Amino acid sequence: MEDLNFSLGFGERLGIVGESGCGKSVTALALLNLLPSTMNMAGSIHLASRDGQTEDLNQLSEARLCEIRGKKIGMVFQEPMSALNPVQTIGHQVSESLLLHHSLSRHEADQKASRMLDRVGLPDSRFARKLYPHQLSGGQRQRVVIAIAMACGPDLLVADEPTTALDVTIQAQILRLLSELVEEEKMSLILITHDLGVIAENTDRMLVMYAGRCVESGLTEDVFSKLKHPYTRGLFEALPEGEQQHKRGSTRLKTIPGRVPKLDERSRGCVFQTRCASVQPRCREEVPQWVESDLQHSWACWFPHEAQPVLSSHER
Amino acid sequence: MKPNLFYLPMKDKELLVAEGVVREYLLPRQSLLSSRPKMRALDGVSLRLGKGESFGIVGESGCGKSTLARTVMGLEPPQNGRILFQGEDLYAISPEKLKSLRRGMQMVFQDPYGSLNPRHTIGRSIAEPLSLQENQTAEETSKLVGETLEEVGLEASDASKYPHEFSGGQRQRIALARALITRPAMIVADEPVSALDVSVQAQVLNLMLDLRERHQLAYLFISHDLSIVRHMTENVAVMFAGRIVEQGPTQDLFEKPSHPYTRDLLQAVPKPIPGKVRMNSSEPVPFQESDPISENLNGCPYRFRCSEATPICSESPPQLLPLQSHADSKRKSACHASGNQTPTNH
Repeated sequence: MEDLNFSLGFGERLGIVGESGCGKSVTALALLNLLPSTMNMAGSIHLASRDGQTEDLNQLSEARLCEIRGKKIGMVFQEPMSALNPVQTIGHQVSESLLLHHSLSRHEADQKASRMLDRVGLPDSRFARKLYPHQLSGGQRQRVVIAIAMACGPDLLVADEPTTALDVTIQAQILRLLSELVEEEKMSLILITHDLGVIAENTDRMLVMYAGRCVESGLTEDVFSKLKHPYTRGLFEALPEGEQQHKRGSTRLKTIPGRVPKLDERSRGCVFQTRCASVQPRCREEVPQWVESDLQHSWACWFPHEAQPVLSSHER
Repeated sequence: MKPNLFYLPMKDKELLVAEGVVREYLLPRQSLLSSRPKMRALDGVSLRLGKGESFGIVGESGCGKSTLARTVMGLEPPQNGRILFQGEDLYAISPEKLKSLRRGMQMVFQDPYGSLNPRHTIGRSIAEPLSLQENQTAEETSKLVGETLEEVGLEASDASKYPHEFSGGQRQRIALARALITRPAMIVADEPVSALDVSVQAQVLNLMLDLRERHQLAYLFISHDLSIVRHMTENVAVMFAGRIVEQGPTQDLFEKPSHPYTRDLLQAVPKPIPGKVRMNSSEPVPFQESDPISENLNGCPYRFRCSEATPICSESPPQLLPLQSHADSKRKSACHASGNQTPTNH
């Protein structure tokens, strides 16, 4: 991953989209300074607290980081089964971080955990606090994971593919829950996903990542309507519901030819050059400059798209 | 073959017919003395797939999609009902006959990492279905493997490589090559692209469309992704809790869904159009999640989540019957509210 810059305000929802291996999850782990020791991190990550102080997460001691993780930054992972401890009750798992970060008594922590579980839609009457994760469905487990992440009232919630393992109907419920919580708690959200639909409906701003770099960023609406970078455009056109949605059967989808270059295959110039339809000699030589237009919309491409949006007539 | 009183004459163009298929699984005992509860993974599923047709099956996890796939492939005998492939009842014919029929039906699985043996060269994996075929020389086989690899967009020389040398999309091409090598009439594709990234997904879907055109393949296309099913198939069945709740021509069904479940499902798909925030405008998807054991007992399986449920829904299960309101008689729905249920008691 290289040269990634972004900022996020209080109560803002940021989406990060990209294909597997583009660095989405590494970004999430780097935010919490949880990268494995084989990976190096340079740069700085500033976290502001509500009293106006900022801290650089990359400079802090491990002890201080442990205080921040779970308390100021909550994390929701993709696979709810592996994120939960199979041999502890859900009530215990939610109260664990409360006991750790706040000096609450066992009883108080349990009560607060129980309220948190109520809030995410697991009322005590139907879901006893002494249930174990295997007694719950995938969507219910993900609710428990969200309750854990939310228990200490974090300022920032990082959700890494929170709904990828779930059915669409359950996905809709979980995303709705996240949006409600963000609104109620004035919390910030980083939503990492590969699903453009999820990004469109649940974020204010977005980053498009490709091969470890951010290639386009801006207000979600701007990015979706302008599709400046050829990769963003390609992702869109590859969706079965794009332009060709009214025909069926024999219609072919547009594709992005080739595949993401491996780490050792990357040469100088633009990372997308090997798959780009409008590649020019300059792209092979120089890394594209970060171009910023009005309204914080910016992209890294020498030859960005200028024409009308492809999806202008696309309404459902 | 034993005589069957309920034999329906098969039309010439029909390739696969499933009639009233019921598949039950025994669950673990709830207490020491009780009998083991049963769970109906498939509850009276019927479908017809014509030659060269592609038929989609959609539904959420646990609705019986994959059980249906295994049952029509002759891998899991149904407790009730029949599967006819090219006019032969898969579970009534001799094992030798079944073996030769299997050549006509192949399967592509979801996980391209788990479905190829990591210790076999892909040439060996692809040639494996041929080993059931008698008298093929080694040269013939390797020539055929090479041709098939080229057909799916890989190179003949790739046959000597191992799966780890390929990306997810390429592995799914290999899985398609393995399915194609016996020149099947039907491919059952169980979530063939859901493990792939969007851009790669499109490549594999295009390949599947090409192959279908070239070989007049029929697809039974199983997916939870509605937009992909919409793109790939002509007819579609929506499954819920082991039953088909709605069925019909894909385009028409997706444009005018009749069953409340189909509507909820379509509603739940996030659409890549910013600013059109759906969630505030519409009523929430009901919270209740399904309990397949108790729900199947009586009545409509969807009644617990249905916003339009009425007392009749818990009394009798709705039948999958043609919709009168639609000009297209192929549209069927199983819902008491759709006005197509006969007033007689079941």
